[in-house]
Amino acid sequence: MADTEFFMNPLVSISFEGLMLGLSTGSVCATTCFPFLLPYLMTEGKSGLRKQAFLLLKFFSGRLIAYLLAGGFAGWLGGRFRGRFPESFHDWALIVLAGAMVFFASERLFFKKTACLRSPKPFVSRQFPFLLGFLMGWNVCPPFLIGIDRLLEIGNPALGTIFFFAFFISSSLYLLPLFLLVPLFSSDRLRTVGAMTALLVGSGYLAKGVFALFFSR
Amino acid sequence: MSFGLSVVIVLCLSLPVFSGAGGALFAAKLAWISGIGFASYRVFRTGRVSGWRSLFFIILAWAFILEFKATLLGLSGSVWVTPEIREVPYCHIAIVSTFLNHLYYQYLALMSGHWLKWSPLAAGLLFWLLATLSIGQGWCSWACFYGGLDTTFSSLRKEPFLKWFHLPRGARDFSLALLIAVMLLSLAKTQPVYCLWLCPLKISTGFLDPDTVIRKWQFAIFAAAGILFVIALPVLIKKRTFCAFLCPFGAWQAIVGRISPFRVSINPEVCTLCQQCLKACPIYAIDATGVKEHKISSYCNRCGDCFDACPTGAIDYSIGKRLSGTPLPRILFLISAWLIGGSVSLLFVPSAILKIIRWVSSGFHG
Repeated sequence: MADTEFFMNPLVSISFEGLMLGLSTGSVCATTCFPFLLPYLMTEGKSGLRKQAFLLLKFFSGRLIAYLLAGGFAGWLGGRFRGRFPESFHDWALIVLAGAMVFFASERLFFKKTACLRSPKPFVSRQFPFLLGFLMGWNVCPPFLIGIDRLLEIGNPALGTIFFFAFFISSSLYLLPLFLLVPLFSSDRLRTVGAMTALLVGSGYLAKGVFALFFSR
Repeated sequence: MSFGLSVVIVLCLSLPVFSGAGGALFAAKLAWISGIGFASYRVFRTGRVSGWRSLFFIILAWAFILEFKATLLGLSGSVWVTPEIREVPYCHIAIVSTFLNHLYYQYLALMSGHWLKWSPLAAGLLFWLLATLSIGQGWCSWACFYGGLDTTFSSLRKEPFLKWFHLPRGARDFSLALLIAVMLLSLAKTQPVYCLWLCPLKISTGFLDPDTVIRKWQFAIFAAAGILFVIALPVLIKKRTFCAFLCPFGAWQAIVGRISPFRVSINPEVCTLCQQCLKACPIYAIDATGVKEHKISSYCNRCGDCFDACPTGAIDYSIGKRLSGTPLPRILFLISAWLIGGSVSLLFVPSAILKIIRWVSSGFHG
Protein backbone atom coordinates (compact mmCIF):
# COMPACT_ATOMS: atom_id res chain seq x y z
CA MET A 1 0.00 0.00 0.00
CA ALA A 2 2.83 2.31 0.98
CA ASP A 3 4.56 1.47 -2.28
CA THR A 4 1.49 2.41 -4.28
CA GLU A 5 1.24 5.73 -2.47
CA PHE A 6 4.89 6.40 -3.15
CA PHE A 7 4.43 5.92 -6.90
CA MET A 8 1.16 7.88 -6.84
CA ASN A 9 3.10 10.94 -5.75
CA PRO A 10 3.27 13.08 -8.93
CA LEU A 11 6.89 14.04 -8.30
CA VAL A 12 7.99 10.46 -8.01
CA SER A 13 5.85 9.17 -10.84
CA ILE A 14 6.95 11.90 -13.28
CA SER A 15 10.60 11.31 -12.35
CA PHE A 16 10.11 7.61 -12.87
CA GLU A 17 8.48 8.23 -16.27
CA GLY A 18 11.36 10.43 -17.42
CA LEU A 19 13.90 7.94 -16.15
CA MET A 20 12.21 5.03 -17.91
CA LEU A 21 11.79 6.99 -21.14
CA GLY A 22 15.51 7.71 -21.20
CA LEU A 23 16.48 4.15 -20.38
CA SER A 24 14.13 2.53 -22.87
CA THR A 25 14.78 4.89 -25.78
CA GLY A 26 18.32 5.91 -24.96
CA SER A 27 19.76 3.95 -27.88
CA VAL A 28 17.56 5.94 -30.28
CA CYS A 29 18.67 9.09 -28.50
CA ALA A 30 22.28 8.04 -28.98
CA THR A 31 21.90 7.38 -32.70
CA THR A 32 20.57 10.94 -33.10
CA CYS A 33 23.35 12.50 -31.05
CA PHE A 34 26.31 10.42 -32.26
CA PRO A 35 26.65 12.15 -35.67
CA PHE A 36 27.40 15.40 -33.85
CA LEU A 37 29.15 14.09 -30.80
CA LEU A 38 31.58 11.58 -32.32
CA PRO A 39 33.23 13.94 -34.83
CA TYR A 40 33.46 16.60 -32.13
CA LEU A 41 35.15 14.23 -29.70
CA MET A 42 37.48 12.96 -32.43
CA THR A 43 38.56 16.55 -33.00
CA GLU A 44 38.62 17.84 -29.45
CA GLY A 45 38.78 14.77 -27.21
CA LYS A 46 41.54 15.15 -24.63
CA SER A 47 43.91 12.41 -23.67
CA GLY A 48 44.24 13.52 -20.03
CA LEU A 49 41.53 12.31 -17.68
CA ARG A 50 41.10 15.70 -16.03
CA LYS A 51 40.79 17.61 -19.29
CA GLN A 52 38.37 15.04 -20.66
CA ALA A 53 36.27 15.22 -17.47
CA PHE A 54 36.13 18.99 -17.83
CA LEU A 55 34.95 18.69 -21.43
CA LEU A 56 32.36 16.12 -20.40
CA LEU A 57 31.12 18.37 -17.63
CA LYS A 58 30.71 21.33 -19.98
CA PHE A 59 28.88 19.26 -22.57
CA PHE A 60 26.46 17.69 -20.12
CA SER A 61 25.84 21.04 -18.37
CA GLY A 62 24.76 22.50 -21.69
CA ARG A 63 22.57 19.52 -22.42
CA LEU A 64 21.02 19.58 -18.94
CA ILE A 65 20.17 23.27 -19.15
CA ALA A 66 18.58 22.74 -22.58
CA TYR A 67 16.50 19.85 -21.25
CA LEU A 68 15.38 21.74 -18.15
CA LEU A 69 14.34 24.69 -20.29
CA ALA A 70 12.59 22.40 -22.78
CA GLY A 71 10.78 20.59 -19.97
CA GLY A 72 9.74 23.80 -18.24
CA PHE A 73 8.67 25.41 -21.50
CA ALA A 74 6.67 22.38 -22.67
CA GLY A 75 4.95 22.18 -19.30
CA TRP A 76 4.15 25.90 -19.38
CA LEU A 77 2.94 25.73 -22.99
CA GLY A 78 0.78 22.73 -22.21
CA GLY A 79 -0.67 24.40 -19.11
CA ARG A 80 -1.57 27.62 -20.92
CA PHE A 81 -2.55 26.63 -24.41
CA ARG A 82 -2.65 22.85 -24.58
CA GLY A 83 -0.84 23.64 -27.80
CA ARG A 84 2.15 22.35 -29.72
CA PHE A 85 5.63 23.52 -30.53
CA PRO A 86 5.55 25.27 -33.89
CA GLU A 87 6.25 22.86 -36.77
CA SER A 88 9.31 24.73 -37.88
CA PHE A 89 10.94 24.53 -34.43
CA HIS A 90 12.71 21.29 -35.28
CA ASP A 91 14.14 22.71 -38.50
CA TRP A 92 15.38 25.89 -36.86
CA ALA A 93 16.98 23.93 -34.02
CA LEU A 94 18.70 21.69 -36.55
CA ILE A 95 19.93 24.62 -38.64
CA VAL A 96 21.44 26.35 -35.61
CA LEU A 97 23.16 23.17 -34.39
CA ALA A 98 24.43 22.22 -37.86
CA GLY A 99 25.59 25.78 -38.48
CA ALA A 100 27.54 25.72 -35.20
CA MET A 101 29.10 22.40 -36.25
CA VAL A 102 30.12 23.77 -39.65
CA PHE A 103 31.60 26.84 -38.00
CA PHE A 104 33.54 24.73 -35.51
CA ALA A 105 34.86 22.35 -38.20
CA SER A 106 35.78 25.18 -40.57
CA GLU A 107 37.64 26.95 -37.81
CA ARG A 108 39.59 23.77 -37.05
CA LEU A 109 40.30 22.92 -40.68
CA PHE A 110 40.84 26.21 -42.43
CA PHE A 111 41.39 29.06 -40.02
CA LYS A 112 43.37 27.60 -37.16
CA LYS A 113 46.74 28.06 -38.76
CA THR A 114 46.00 31.31 -40.53
CA ALA A 115 48.13 33.91 -38.79
CA CYS A 116 45.62 36.76 -38.99
CA LEU A 117 42.85 34.71 -37.41
CA ARG A 118 44.92 32.93 -34.83
CA SER A 119 43.97 33.48 -31.22
CA PRO A 120 45.22 31.74 -28.09
CA LYS A 121 41.91 30.13 -27.15
CA PRO A 122 38.86 31.98 -28.41
CA PHE A 123 35.82 32.13 -26.17
CA VAL A 124 33.65 30.28 -28.68
CA SER A 125 36.16 27.48 -28.86
CA ARG A 126 36.46 27.22 -25.07
CA GLN A 127 32.72 27.16 -24.57
CA PHE A 128 31.93 25.01 -27.58
CA PRO A 129 31.30 21.81 -25.56
CA PHE A 130 28.68 23.67 -23.54
CA LEU A 131 27.15 25.18 -26.68
CA LEU A 132 27.13 21.80 -28.42
CA GLY A 133 25.44 20.15 -25.44
CA PHE A 134 22.91 22.97 -25.24
CA LEU A 135 22.06 22.90 -28.95
CA MET A 136 21.95 19.11 -29.04
CA GLY A 137 19.61 19.18 -26.06
CA TRP A 138 17.20 21.34 -28.06
CA ASN A 139 17.32 19.09 -31.07
CA VAL A 140 14.34 16.95 -31.64
CA CYS A 141 14.80 13.21 -31.55
CA PRO A 142 11.93 10.70 -31.18
CA PRO A 143 12.35 10.22 -27.40
CA PHE A 144 12.48 14.01 -26.94
CA LEU A 145 9.22 14.31 -28.87
CA ILE A 146 7.56 11.64 -26.74
CA GLY A 147 8.63 13.55 -23.65
CA ILE A 148 7.37 16.87 -25.00
CA ASP A 149 4.07 15.29 -25.94
CA ARG A 150 3.63 13.93 -22.42
CA LEU A 151 4.43 17.31 -20.88
CA LEU A 152 1.98 19.15 -23.11
CA GLU A 153 -0.59 16.76 -21.73
CA ILE A 154 0.42 17.35 -18.08
CA GLY A 155 0.74 21.11 -18.49
CA ASN A 156 2.91 21.83 -15.45
CA PRO A 157 6.29 23.58 -15.83
CA ALA A 158 7.73 22.24 -12.56
CA LEU A 159 6.82 18.66 -13.37
CA GLY A 160 8.12 19.19 -16.90
CA THR A 161 11.50 20.26 -15.56
CA ILE A 162 11.66 17.24 -13.27
CA PHE A 163 10.62 14.91 -16.08
CA PHE A 164 13.39 16.15 -18.35
CA PHE A 165 15.95 16.10 -15.55
CA ALA A 166 15.23 12.39 -15.05
CA PHE A 167 15.27 11.86 -18.82
CA PHE A 168 18.64 13.62 -19.00
CA ILE A 169 20.13 11.33 -16.32
CA SER A 170 19.09 8.06 -17.93
CA SER A 171 19.67 9.01 -21.59
CA SER A 172 23.15 10.33 -20.76
CA LEU A 173 24.21 6.81 -19.85
CA TYR A 174 24.19 5.97 -23.56
CA LEU A 175 26.45 8.88 -24.46
CA LEU A 176 29.04 8.42 -21.73
CA PRO A 177 30.97 5.56 -23.39
CA LEU A 178 31.94 7.85 -26.26
CA PHE A 179 33.63 10.25 -23.85
CA LEU A 180 35.62 7.40 -22.41
CA LEU A 181 36.52 5.59 -25.64
CA VAL A 182 37.25 8.23 -28.27
CA PRO A 183 40.18 9.97 -26.50
CA LEU A 184 41.98 6.62 -26.29
CA PHE A 185 42.54 6.83 -30.05
CA SER A 186 43.43 10.51 -30.05
CA SER A 187 46.03 11.57 -32.63
CA ASP A 188 46.71 14.54 -34.92
CA ARG A 189 45.51 12.57 -37.91
CA LEU A 190 42.28 11.57 -36.16
CA ARG A 191 41.68 15.19 -35.16
CA THR A 192 41.82 16.26 -38.81
CA VAL A 193 39.56 13.35 -39.81
CA GLY A 194 37.18 14.34 -36.99
CA ALA A 195 37.05 17.94 -38.18
CA MET A 196 36.36 16.83 -41.77
CA THR A 197 33.65 14.48 -40.50
CA ALA A 198 32.14 17.32 -38.47
CA LEU A 199 32.12 19.50 -41.58
CA LEU A 200 30.41 16.79 -43.64
CA VAL A 201 27.83 15.98 -40.96
CA GLY A 202 27.18 19.67 -40.24
CA SER A 203 26.80 20.48 -43.94
CA GLY A 204 24.46 17.53 -44.43
CA TYR A 205 22.20 18.53 -41.57
CA LEU A 206 22.36 22.20 -42.54
CA ALA A 207 21.16 21.32 -46.05
CA LYS A 208 18.46 19.08 -44.58
CA GLY A 209 17.23 21.81 -42.22
CA VAL A 210 17.22 24.53 -44.88
CA PHE A 211 15.49 22.25 -47.36
CA ALA A 212 12.84 21.19 -44.84
CA LEU A 213 12.22 24.77 -43.77
CA PHE A 214 12.06 26.49 -47.14
CA PHE A 215 11.29 23.90 -49.79
CA SER A 216 9.14 21.16 -48.35
CA ARG A 217 6.22 23.21 -47.00
CA MET B 1 57.30 -21.91 -63.09
CA SER B 2 55.13 -19.06 -64.41
CA PHE B 3 53.16 -21.55 -66.48
CA GLY B 4 52.70 -23.87 -63.50
CA LEU B 5 51.38 -21.05 -61.31
CA SER B 6 48.90 -20.00 -63.99
CA VAL B 7 47.72 -23.61 -64.33
CA VAL B 8 47.06 -23.67 -60.57
CA ILE B 9 44.95 -20.52 -60.91
CA VAL B 10 43.04 -21.90 -63.91
CA LEU B 11 42.36 -25.21 -62.16
CA CYS B 12 41.14 -23.57 -58.95
CA LEU B 13 38.78 -21.27 -60.89
CA SER B 14 37.55 -24.13 -63.11
CA LEU B 15 36.58 -26.56 -60.36
CA PRO B 16 33.26 -24.88 -59.42
CA VAL B 17 32.49 -24.28 -63.12
CA PHE B 18 32.63 -27.98 -63.96
CA SER B 19 30.03 -28.75 -61.31
CA GLY B 20 27.48 -26.57 -63.17
CA ALA B 21 25.51 -27.12 -66.35
CA GLY B 22 27.10 -27.11 -69.82
CA GLY B 23 26.15 -25.06 -72.86
CA ALA B 24 27.18 -21.65 -74.11
CA LEU B 25 27.60 -20.13 -70.66
CA PHE B 26 29.87 -23.00 -69.66
CA ALA B 27 32.00 -22.37 -72.76
CA ALA B 28 32.10 -18.63 -72.01
CA LYS B 29 33.22 -19.34 -68.46
CA LEU B 30 36.01 -21.60 -69.68
CA ALA B 31 37.08 -18.99 -72.22
CA TRP B 32 37.16 -16.29 -69.53
CA ILE B 33 39.12 -18.52 -67.15
CA SER B 34 41.59 -19.20 -69.95
CA GLY B 35 41.90 -15.44 -70.40
CA ILE B 36 42.63 -15.05 -66.69
CA GLY B 37 45.15 -17.86 -66.96
CA PHE B 38 46.92 -16.11 -69.84
CA ALA B 39 46.92 -12.74 -68.05
CA SER B 40 48.30 -14.28 -64.86
CA TYR B 41 50.95 -16.11 -66.90
CA ARG B 42 52.08 -12.82 -68.47
CA VAL B 43 52.21 -11.18 -65.03
CA PHE B 44 54.29 -14.00 -63.54
CA ARG B 45 56.48 -14.19 -66.63
CA THR B 46 57.24 -10.48 -67.10
CA GLY B 47 57.05 -9.43 -63.46
CA ARG B 48 54.92 -6.45 -64.51
CA VAL B 49 51.58 -6.39 -62.72
CA SER B 50 49.76 -3.23 -63.69
CA GLY B 51 49.02 -3.69 -67.41
CA TRP B 52 47.23 -7.05 -67.32
CA ARG B 53 45.63 -6.30 -63.99
CA SER B 54 44.21 -3.03 -65.33
CA LEU B 55 42.81 -4.76 -68.39
CA PHE B 56 41.17 -7.47 -66.25
CA PHE B 57 39.86 -4.84 -63.85
CA ILE B 58 38.38 -2.66 -66.60
CA ILE B 59 36.64 -5.65 -68.24
CA LEU B 60 35.26 -6.63 -64.82
CA ALA B 61 33.65 -3.21 -64.28
CA TRP B 62 32.13 -2.77 -67.73
CA ALA B 63 30.90 -6.36 -67.82
CA PHE B 64 29.16 -5.76 -64.51
CA ILE B 65 27.42 -2.64 -65.85
CA LEU B 66 26.40 -4.48 -69.02
CA GLU B 67 25.14 -7.54 -67.15
CA PHE B 68 23.29 -5.45 -64.58
CA LYS B 69 21.61 -3.30 -67.20
CA ALA B 70 20.73 -6.32 -69.34
CA THR B 71 19.16 -8.01 -66.32
CA LEU B 72 17.09 -4.91 -65.58
CA LEU B 73 16.01 -4.78 -69.21
CA GLY B 74 14.94 -8.41 -69.03
CA LEU B 75 13.06 -7.94 -65.76
CA SER B 76 11.21 -4.71 -66.41
CA GLY B 77 11.87 -3.67 -69.99
CA SER B 78 13.89 -0.70 -68.77
CA VAL B 79 17.56 -0.12 -67.97
CA TRP B 80 16.47 1.83 -64.88
CA VAL B 81 15.31 0.34 -61.61
CA THR B 82 11.52 0.54 -61.73
CA PRO B 83 8.75 -0.16 -59.21
CA GLU B 84 8.31 -3.62 -60.79
CA ILE B 85 11.63 -4.63 -59.33
CA ARG B 86 11.17 -5.25 -55.66
CA GLU B 87 14.72 -6.17 -54.73
CA VAL B 88 17.24 -3.41 -55.22
CA PRO B 89 20.89 -4.49 -55.37
CA TYR B 90 22.90 -3.86 -52.26
CA CYS B 91 26.59 -3.52 -52.98
CA HIS B 92 29.68 -3.60 -50.78
CA ILE B 93 29.85 0.21 -50.68
CA ALA B 94 26.29 0.35 -49.37
CA ILE B 95 26.98 -2.36 -46.81
CA VAL B 96 29.88 -0.56 -45.14
CA SER B 97 28.15 2.79 -45.20
CA THR B 98 25.21 1.25 -43.31
CA PHE B 99 27.34 -0.98 -41.12
CA LEU B 100 26.26 0.73 -37.88
CA ASN B 101 22.62 0.20 -38.89
CA HIS B 102 23.24 -3.55 -39.16
CA LEU B 103 24.91 -3.54 -35.75
CA TYR B 104 22.03 -1.53 -34.32
CA TYR B 105 19.37 -3.87 -35.74
CA GLN B 106 21.31 -6.81 -34.41
CA TYR B 107 21.41 -5.09 -31.02
CA LEU B 108 17.64 -4.57 -31.15
CA ALA B 109 17.15 -8.23 -32.09
CA LEU B 110 19.31 -9.30 -29.16
CA MET B 111 17.54 -6.95 -26.75
CA SER B 112 14.15 -8.30 -27.78
CA GLY B 113 15.25 -11.87 -27.25
CA HIS B 114 15.57 -12.73 -30.94
CA TRP B 115 19.24 -13.47 -30.80
CA LEU B 116 18.89 -16.11 -33.51
CA LYS B 117 17.73 -13.53 -36.02
CA TRP B 118 20.84 -12.72 -37.99
CA SER B 119 20.89 -10.47 -40.99
CA PRO B 120 21.56 -12.23 -44.32
CA LEU B 121 24.60 -10.00 -44.49
CA ALA B 122 26.17 -12.11 -41.77
CA ALA B 123 26.68 -14.82 -44.42
CA GLY B 124 28.26 -12.28 -46.78
CA LEU B 125 30.61 -11.44 -43.94
CA LEU B 126 32.32 -14.79 -44.42
CA PHE B 127 33.17 -14.09 -48.07
CA TRP B 128 34.30 -10.58 -47.20
CA LEU B 129 36.47 -11.95 -44.38
CA LEU B 130 38.04 -14.51 -46.70
CA ALA B 131 38.69 -11.87 -49.38
CA THR B 132 40.05 -9.39 -46.86
CA LEU B 133 42.32 -11.91 -45.18
CA SER B 134 43.61 -12.98 -48.58
CA ILE B 135 44.19 -9.68 -50.31
CA GLY B 136 43.19 -6.92 -47.85
CA GLN B 137 42.97 -3.58 -49.62
CA GLY B 138 43.74 -5.48 -52.84
CA TRP B 139 39.97 -5.86 -53.23
CA CYS B 140 39.86 -2.29 -54.54
CA SER B 141 42.20 -3.04 -57.43
CA TRP B 142 41.46 -6.66 -58.15
CA ALA B 143 37.84 -7.49 -57.40
CA CYS B 144 35.72 -4.34 -57.03
CA PHE B 145 33.30 -4.11 -59.94
CA TYR B 146 33.18 -0.30 -59.77
CA GLY B 147 36.89 0.51 -59.54
CA GLY B 148 37.40 -0.35 -63.19
CA LEU B 149 35.29 2.64 -64.22
CA ASP B 150 37.63 5.39 -63.05
CA THR B 151 40.56 3.12 -63.94
CA THR B 152 39.26 3.20 -67.52
CA PHE B 153 39.26 6.97 -67.67
CA SER B 154 42.56 7.35 -65.80
CA SER B 155 44.18 4.98 -68.31
CA LEU B 156 43.11 6.91 -71.39
CA ARG B 157 46.22 9.07 -71.55
CA LYS B 158 49.83 8.18 -71.00
CA GLU B 159 50.64 11.51 -69.32
CA PRO B 160 48.24 13.54 -67.16
CA PHE B 161 46.98 16.92 -68.36
CA LEU B 162 47.39 18.28 -64.83
CA LYS B 163 50.28 17.04 -62.72
CA TRP B 164 48.56 16.94 -59.36
CA PHE B 165 50.92 14.57 -57.62
CA HIS B 166 50.75 16.16 -54.18
CA LEU B 167 47.74 16.67 -51.94
CA PRO B 168 47.22 19.19 -49.14
CA ARG B 169 47.94 17.71 -45.73
CA GLY B 170 45.12 15.50 -44.48
CA ALA B 171 43.22 15.58 -47.79
CA ARG B 172 43.86 11.89 -48.43
CA ASP B 173 41.89 11.10 -45.28
CA PHE B 174 38.76 12.70 -46.72
CA SER B 175 37.42 9.27 -47.67
CA LEU B 176 37.82 8.14 -44.06
CA ALA B 177 35.92 11.21 -42.85
CA LEU B 178 33.26 10.49 -45.46
CA LEU B 179 32.99 6.88 -44.29
CA ILE B 180 32.47 7.95 -40.66
CA ALA B 181 30.01 10.68 -41.67
CA VAL B 182 27.85 8.43 -43.86
CA MET B 183 27.90 5.67 -41.25
CA LEU B 184 26.68 8.08 -38.56
CA LEU B 185 24.13 9.79 -40.78
CA SER B 186 22.80 6.46 -42.05
CA LEU B 187 22.37 5.33 -38.47
CA ALA B 188 20.62 8.53 -37.43
CA LYS B 189 18.30 8.58 -40.44
CA THR B 190 17.92 4.78 -40.72
CA GLN B 191 18.60 5.12 -44.44
CA PRO B 192 21.56 4.34 -46.69
CA VAL B 193 22.59 7.99 -46.89
CA TYR B 194 25.55 7.41 -49.21
CA CYS B 195 23.41 5.56 -51.76
CA LEU B 196 20.65 8.15 -51.56
CA TRP B 197 22.77 11.26 -51.76
CA LEU B 198 26.31 10.73 -52.92
CA CYS B 199 27.02 7.59 -54.89
CA PRO B 200 27.72 8.60 -58.49
CA LEU B 201 27.19 5.00 -59.53
CA LYS B 202 23.56 5.33 -58.44
CA ILE B 203 22.98 7.32 -61.63
CA SER B 204 22.94 3.94 -63.32
CA THR B 205 19.90 2.75 -61.34
CA GLY B 206 16.91 4.72 -60.09
CA PHE B 207 14.44 5.12 -57.25
CA LEU B 208 11.36 3.20 -56.33
CA ASP B 209 9.39 6.09 -54.84
CA PRO B 210 7.79 8.93 -56.80
CA ASP B 211 9.77 11.65 -58.51
CA THR B 212 10.00 14.75 -56.33
CA VAL B 213 12.11 17.88 -56.01
CA ILE B 214 14.42 15.92 -53.72
CA ARG B 215 14.82 13.28 -56.40
CA LYS B 216 15.99 15.92 -58.89
CA TRP B 217 18.56 17.17 -56.40
CA GLN B 218 19.78 13.65 -55.82
CA PHE B 219 20.17 12.98 -59.54
CA ALA B 220 21.96 16.29 -59.96
CA ILE B 221 24.43 15.35 -57.21
CA PHE B 222 24.97 11.85 -58.66
CA ALA B 223 25.57 13.27 -62.12
CA ALA B 224 27.94 15.97 -60.86
CA ALA B 225 29.91 13.52 -58.69
CA GLY B 226 30.00 10.95 -61.48
CA ILE B 227 31.17 13.35 -64.15
CA LEU B 228 33.75 14.93 -61.85
CA PHE B 229 35.15 11.95 -59.95
CA VAL B 230 34.65 9.03 -62.32
CA ILE B 231 35.33 10.73 -65.66
CA ALA B 232 36.78 14.26 -65.67
CA LEU B 233 39.34 14.16 -62.86
CA PRO B 234 40.67 10.68 -63.77
CA VAL B 235 41.20 11.88 -67.37
CA LEU B 236 42.83 15.14 -66.24
CA ILE B 237 45.10 13.96 -63.45
CA LYS B 238 45.40 10.24 -64.25
CA LYS B 239 44.32 9.21 -60.74
CA ARG B 240 41.41 7.08 -59.57
CA THR B 241 39.67 9.95 -57.85
CA PHE B 242 36.38 8.19 -57.09
CA CYS B 243 38.22 5.33 -55.36
CA ALA B 244 40.59 7.69 -53.55
CA PHE B 245 38.15 10.29 -52.26
CA LEU B 246 34.55 9.28 -52.68
CA CYS B 247 34.44 5.58 -51.91
CA PRO B 248 33.71 4.72 -48.26
CA PHE B 249 34.59 1.09 -48.92
CA GLY B 250 38.15 2.07 -49.84
CA ALA B 251 38.56 3.79 -46.48
CA TRP B 252 36.95 0.83 -44.73
CA GLN B 253 39.34 -1.60 -46.37
CA ALA B 254 42.27 0.67 -45.52
CA ILE B 255 41.42 0.13 -41.86
CA VAL B 256 40.27 -3.48 -41.70
CA GLY B 257 42.44 -4.66 -44.61
CA ARG B 258 45.36 -4.64 -42.20
CA ILE B 259 44.28 -8.10 -41.10
CA SER B 260 45.76 -9.36 -44.37
CA PRO B 261 49.45 -10.19 -44.00
CA PHE B 262 50.30 -8.82 -47.45
CA ARG B 263 51.80 -5.36 -47.81
CA VAL B 264 53.61 -3.34 -50.45
CA SER B 265 57.03 -2.28 -49.20
CA ILE B 266 59.93 -0.15 -50.38
CA ASN B 267 63.48 -1.43 -50.08
CA PRO B 268 65.40 1.55 -48.58
CA GLU B 269 68.72 0.21 -49.82
CA VAL B 270 67.64 0.25 -53.45
CA CYS B 271 65.29 3.27 -53.44
CA THR B 272 66.78 6.40 -55.06
CA LEU B 273 63.97 8.73 -53.86
CA CYS B 274 63.10 9.54 -57.48
CA GLN B 275 59.36 9.75 -56.59
CA GLN B 276 58.26 7.88 -59.71
CA CYS B 277 56.11 5.66 -57.43
CA LEU B 278 54.39 8.74 -56.01
CA LYS B 279 53.55 9.91 -59.53
CA ALA B 280 52.36 6.49 -60.65
CA CYS B 281 50.20 5.66 -57.63
CA PRO B 282 46.60 6.05 -58.85
CA ILE B 283 45.09 6.56 -55.40
CA TYR B 284 47.58 8.85 -53.63
CA ALA B 285 48.77 6.12 -51.28
CA ILE B 286 52.36 7.37 -51.45
CA ASP B 287 53.25 10.94 -50.49
CA ALA B 288 56.56 12.80 -50.41
CA THR B 289 57.11 12.07 -46.72
CA GLY B 290 56.29 8.43 -47.37
CA VAL B 291 58.93 8.24 -50.09
CA LYS B 292 61.55 9.78 -47.79
CA GLU B 293 60.67 7.37 -44.99
CA HIS B 294 60.06 4.47 -47.40
CA LYS B 295 56.53 4.08 -46.14
CA ILE B 296 53.37 3.39 -48.10
CA SER B 297 50.04 4.32 -46.51
CA SER B 298 47.31 1.85 -45.63
CA TYR B 299 45.26 3.17 -48.56
CA CYS B 300 47.52 1.18 -50.93
CA ASN B 301 45.39 -1.01 -53.21
CA ARG B 302 48.17 -3.46 -54.14
CA CYS B 303 47.60 -2.57 -57.81
CA GLY B 304 51.25 -2.85 -58.75
CA ASP B 305 51.47 0.41 -60.72
CA CYS B 306 54.34 1.62 -58.53
CA PHE B 307 56.38 -1.59 -59.08
CA ASP B 308 56.30 -1.06 -62.80
CA ALA B 309 57.14 2.65 -62.48
CA CYS B 310 60.09 2.11 -60.14
CA PRO B 311 63.31 2.29 -62.17
CA THR B 312 65.33 0.32 -59.62
CA GLY B 313 62.75 -2.34 -58.71
CA ALA B 314 62.77 -1.20 -55.09
CA ILE B 315 59.05 -1.91 -54.49
CA ASP B 316 57.39 -5.28 -54.16
CA TYR B 317 54.77 -7.25 -52.28
CA SER B 318 55.84 -8.35 -48.83
CA ILE B 319 54.50 -10.33 -45.92
CA GLY B 320 54.66 -7.95 -43.00
CA LYS B 321 56.41 -4.62 -43.40
CA ARG B 322 59.79 -5.81 -44.65
CA LEU B 323 60.75 -7.19 -48.00
CA SER B 324 62.03 -10.73 -47.64
CA GLY B 325 64.12 -10.72 -50.80
CA THR B 326 62.32 -13.81 -52.11
CA PRO B 327 59.53 -13.96 -54.70
CA LEU B 328 57.27 -15.92 -52.33
CA PRO B 329 55.12 -13.00 -51.04
CA ARG B 330 54.58 -11.81 -54.63
CA ILE B 331 53.58 -15.30 -55.80
CA LEU B 332 51.23 -15.88 -52.86
CA PHE B 333 49.58 -12.49 -53.20
CA LEU B 334 49.13 -12.72 -56.95
CA ILE B 335 47.62 -16.20 -56.74
CA SER B 336 45.17 -14.96 -54.05
CA ALA B 337 44.34 -11.83 -56.04
CA TRP B 338 43.68 -13.67 -59.31
CA LEU B 339 41.54 -16.21 -57.45
CA ILE B 340 39.45 -13.64 -55.58
CA GLY B 341 39.15 -11.29 -58.56
CA GLY B 342 38.57 -14.24 -60.89
CA SER B 343 35.81 -15.68 -58.68
CA VAL B 344 34.01 -12.33 -58.58
CA SER B 345 34.40 -11.86 -62.33
CA LEU B 346 32.94 -15.28 -63.06
CA LEU B 347 29.64 -14.06 -61.63
CA PHE B 348 29.02 -11.77 -64.60
CA VAL B 349 31.86 -11.49 -67.13
CA PRO B 350 31.13 -14.77 -69.03
CA SER B 351 27.45 -13.91 -69.20
CA ALA B 352 28.26 -10.40 -70.45
CA ILE B 353 30.61 -11.86 -73.08
CA LEU B 354 27.80 -14.12 -74.30
CA LYS B 355 25.41 -11.19 -74.55
CA ILE B 356 27.90 -9.19 -76.60
CA ILE B 357 28.50 -12.16 -78.93
CA ARG B 358 24.75 -12.66 -79.41
CA TRP B 359 24.21 -8.97 -79.95
CA VAL B 360 26.98 -8.76 -82.55
CA SER B 361 25.92 -11.98 -84.30
CA SER B 362 22.33 -10.68 -84.52
CA GLY B 363 23.62 -7.68 -86.44
CA PHE B 364 23.37 -5.31 -83.45
CA HIS B 365 19.64 -5.92 -82.99
CA GLY B 366 17.76 -6.89 -79.85
